[in-house]
Amino acid sequence: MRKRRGEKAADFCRKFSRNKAAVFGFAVAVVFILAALFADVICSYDKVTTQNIVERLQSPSAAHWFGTDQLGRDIFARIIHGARVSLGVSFLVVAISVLVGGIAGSLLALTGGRIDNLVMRLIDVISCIPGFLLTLALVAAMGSGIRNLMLAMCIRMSVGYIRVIRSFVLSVVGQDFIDAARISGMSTRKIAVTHVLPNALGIIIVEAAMSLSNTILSIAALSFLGLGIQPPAPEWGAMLNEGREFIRTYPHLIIIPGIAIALSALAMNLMGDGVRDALDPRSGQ
Amino acid sequence: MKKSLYLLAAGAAALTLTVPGMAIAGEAAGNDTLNVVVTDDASQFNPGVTNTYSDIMSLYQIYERLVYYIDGEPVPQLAESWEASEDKLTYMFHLRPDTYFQNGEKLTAEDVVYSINRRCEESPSTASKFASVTALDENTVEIKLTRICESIFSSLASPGMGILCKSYCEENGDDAFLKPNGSGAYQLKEWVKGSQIQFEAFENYGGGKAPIEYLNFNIITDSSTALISLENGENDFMLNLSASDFALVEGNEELTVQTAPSHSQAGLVLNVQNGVTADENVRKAIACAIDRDAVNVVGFDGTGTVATGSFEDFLYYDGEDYTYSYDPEKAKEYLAASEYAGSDITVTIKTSDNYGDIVPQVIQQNLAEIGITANIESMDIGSQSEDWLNGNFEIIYQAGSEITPDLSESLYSAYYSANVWSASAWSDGRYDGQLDAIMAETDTQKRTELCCSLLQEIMATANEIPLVVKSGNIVYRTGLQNTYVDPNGMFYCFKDFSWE
Amino acid sequence: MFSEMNKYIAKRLVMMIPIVLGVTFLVFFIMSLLPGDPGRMILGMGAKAEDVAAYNHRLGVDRPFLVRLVSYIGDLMHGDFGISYRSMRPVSEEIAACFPYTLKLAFAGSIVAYLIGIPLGLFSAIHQNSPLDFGGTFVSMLLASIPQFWLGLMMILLFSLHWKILPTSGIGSFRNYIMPVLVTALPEAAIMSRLTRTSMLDCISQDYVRTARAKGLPRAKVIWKHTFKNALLPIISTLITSFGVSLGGTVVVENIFSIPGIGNLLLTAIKAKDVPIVMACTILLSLIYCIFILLADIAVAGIDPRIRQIYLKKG
Repeated sequence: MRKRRGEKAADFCRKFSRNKAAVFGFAVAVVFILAALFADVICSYDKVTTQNIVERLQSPSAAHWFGTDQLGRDIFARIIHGARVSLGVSFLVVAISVLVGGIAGSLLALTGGRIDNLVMRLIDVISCIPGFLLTLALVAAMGSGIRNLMLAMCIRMSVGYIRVIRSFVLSVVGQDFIDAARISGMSTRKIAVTHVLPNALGIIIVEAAMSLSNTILSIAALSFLGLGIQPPAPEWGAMLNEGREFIRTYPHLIIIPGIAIALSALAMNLMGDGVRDALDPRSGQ
Repeated sequence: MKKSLYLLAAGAAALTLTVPGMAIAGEAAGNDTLNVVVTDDASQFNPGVTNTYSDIMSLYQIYERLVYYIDGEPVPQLAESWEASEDKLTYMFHLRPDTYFQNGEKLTAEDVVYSINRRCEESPSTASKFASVTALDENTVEIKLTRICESIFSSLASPGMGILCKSYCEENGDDAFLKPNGSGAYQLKEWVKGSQIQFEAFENYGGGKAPIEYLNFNIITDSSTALISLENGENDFMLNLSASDFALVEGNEELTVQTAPSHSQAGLVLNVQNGVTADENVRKAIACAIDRDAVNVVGFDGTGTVATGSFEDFLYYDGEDYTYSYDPEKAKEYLAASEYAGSDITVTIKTSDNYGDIVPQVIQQNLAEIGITANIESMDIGSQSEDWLNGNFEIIYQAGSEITPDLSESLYSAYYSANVWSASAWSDGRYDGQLDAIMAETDTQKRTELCCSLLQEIMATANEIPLVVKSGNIVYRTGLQNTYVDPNGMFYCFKDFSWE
Repeated sequence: MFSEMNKYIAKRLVMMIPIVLGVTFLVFFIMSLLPGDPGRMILGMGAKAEDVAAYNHRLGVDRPFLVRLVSYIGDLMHGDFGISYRSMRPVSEEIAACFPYTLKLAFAGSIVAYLIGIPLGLFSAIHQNSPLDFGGTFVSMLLASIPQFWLGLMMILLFSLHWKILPTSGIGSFRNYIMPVLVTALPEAAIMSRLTRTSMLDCISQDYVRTARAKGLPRAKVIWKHTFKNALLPIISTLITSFGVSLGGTVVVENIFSIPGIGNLLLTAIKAKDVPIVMACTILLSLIYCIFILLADIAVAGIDPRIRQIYLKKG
């Protein structure tokens, strides 16, 4: 028996809210997302870039909650606006990859045949290169910088999504209601939109939530290795890289962005886990 | 395929064989060992290959050159003495007698001739200086030059001019540089690729056996980690400590810091051939807009000195500041006089991982104050050099070392129209006349004056904007004697170092 | 059954060939996007244009893409990865020198990860939905969320600087490996523990386990005999593949602790645009990764005959 959509949603909320870790993750994520959305309201972007040599390398104080960096910029402002860059890029990468993966995956599954075969072989090959290595090689070839970094990440992530979605759609396609739709003369595209996608939504959400933290960490790692975002834009991994020199003398330059990265990744992980458990029909029995 | 599987098997074998047991590097630094931190690995031990710091540092231990170069003066090493002809085109070098290579063979003038000729084959720019090199007898070498060249001693002192053993090289081919054979104070003991280069003192070194028996280069890439390894006793010597960590060493009695001005200068290179920076007024505006004191404080923790552009740390310093001082109002005037007056100007500053983007960020803010938008592009050093070479830049930030301390030679190779390789110089030959006059001048004093006035003229065009002369430093375990700070930051020979 | 297994393995091995060729082609293609002039890089900025062109000709980089590709693959067959632009030594030599360190690190890292991860996951699953489970989940999530490079820096601060009990870097002895191995292992342990927990829970809810418990078999016996054995399948398969992943993932760890492995070689090569080294490292690590995926599949097929059947029928 398929439940009605409203019931399903209520069921989901009930299960999710019972998972304390997930709720904690959700709350932290909301704080970060609000910070990213309202960064300009919290503190102006000027504070992110304005240098003040007199006030450089200060420890946290009332005037500068998280202290200042070597150019005398306010670290609190950089963390808040950095949320916009770090999280924004990660969300965008995941969103694009999900979109590409969802569309390509379902189309491949529904069309089948030679194209499906060809694309899947290509994907087999790509997935034989370990993920971080693939991103590294792509960034090395295309050059560092935010756009190339995003492109490389998207390529790596989409491949995974295409696989997951395709095999999911294939498992749905065998079911009765799809056959019924086909017999009644529905086009492939319409079948995809009305029948397959709603069913695939759950698995997409789980995959997306789980890979968000991975994306945040990968982007930070690449920025740390000096292959990421260009100054003066604040990005947490790049802030860590800039502060690396001061690890001994002014450890707050390292500790604070590190916590921001870890906390946001943790939030995404907990949330993703909660979503998966709540969508799992076996859980909560 | 087969090879890969073989590698896999080899790796697995190594894994099972070498887990415990080895000694920890420098756990207890005895009086017979010196553990030195280096930032990279050697590629091989070939004077013709100087890609990394470790290449250069290793070459300095293993091989000797005819002369040393200290404070702008040649100092005897393999050559005990020398004399120049009247026209300064012929030099006679007398070698130290009874010098042996590490494999026991005797070093003769033939080996010197072989080594210099070999170097000339590898490097066209070196070859252009030498007309001929001949062995007059077992201990005398005659060198004839193509033109008057005061930098000949710095050329002969460079790591590439290490004297090789002719017969050994001819017998062993490329392997001669994996198991090097020089006449230097230290010989290679073992090379643990990527981790450690071990040396031991050469018993029959012609200059007297080195006081410290064992010398290890331990590779640590990160400067902060390197300092920690000195503090906890793993290592005894490191170079180029990051300025921000000075405070940490000052409180530590076990460690000593030694500093001195270096030949390394941070500066901007501007494109004079294309783009907005081709406009001289724009360049002057940029030069006036930059607060070089701030650059020194932020970029180098105040340890450097504001550059004057006149090579003050070299021989040619005439005490004058050739650069533009910080004056935003003046900068705006220059901007108003330029052909871009009133319009928005955007420039890109290209920097590399090696130089960092902190200084460019200071400049970015400085330029914003006079209404110029600057973007920063951080790239790897290879791409940066390529763009520099191809003229694909507006502004380049770099902090390179000027190794040749001969001003006439540097000016000639950068600004003579036939030699111009970068878009920061003009190819229309505007300075050729002056340069010809300089190169023909035999009187050292006059030559220097001509050089300084030409340099001043070029600096006034703001094609290059010197920012800060960096300070060089070394950190070592207190008790180490006869240390020195090399102005190039890499030419260290440990043969005279000793423990108290 | 034995011959069936052999047939399966043979089939999978044959399928490896196009995959390896594909990876080589892909990496070669990606690297050919890289703008660069190796002759110029090696000879330096002062070199004459005709010397640079002659050098490039000697390296063969001025030939068309397909010609280069075919000759590269031909050389690979003989185990020849070309010559490094930077050191001018054969690439295979450079890799052979680095490889043992990466292998040691990845191997030790994976073992430690299983030793921490699997018990942690079991513990969480046995105490499902208790505060202990909650704690276990939280710890493993935290481990998966801390950036490796940050963890490494913090450990150096604590163990090398503050307590002075471990060396900062190097490869001299067993002690040098403690921190790098831990940093490699912890995120992996987090994944292992999550996986163990999930697959244990999956099995616990299976009918036969319920039956066994209803029959009154002791709890511990049920967990060990019925549940863990069955939950092992996905664990083993992840266990093997994750070793392959960690081989490729030691780049950051090697960078922080100055370990002269493949990761550091690769990173240096990327910065120096030393294309032959970048290609060789990527291809080699991918190859190893493929081998481990294959091993995992074979192990799973060996345990579960159904998978073998499906595979043989499908082909």
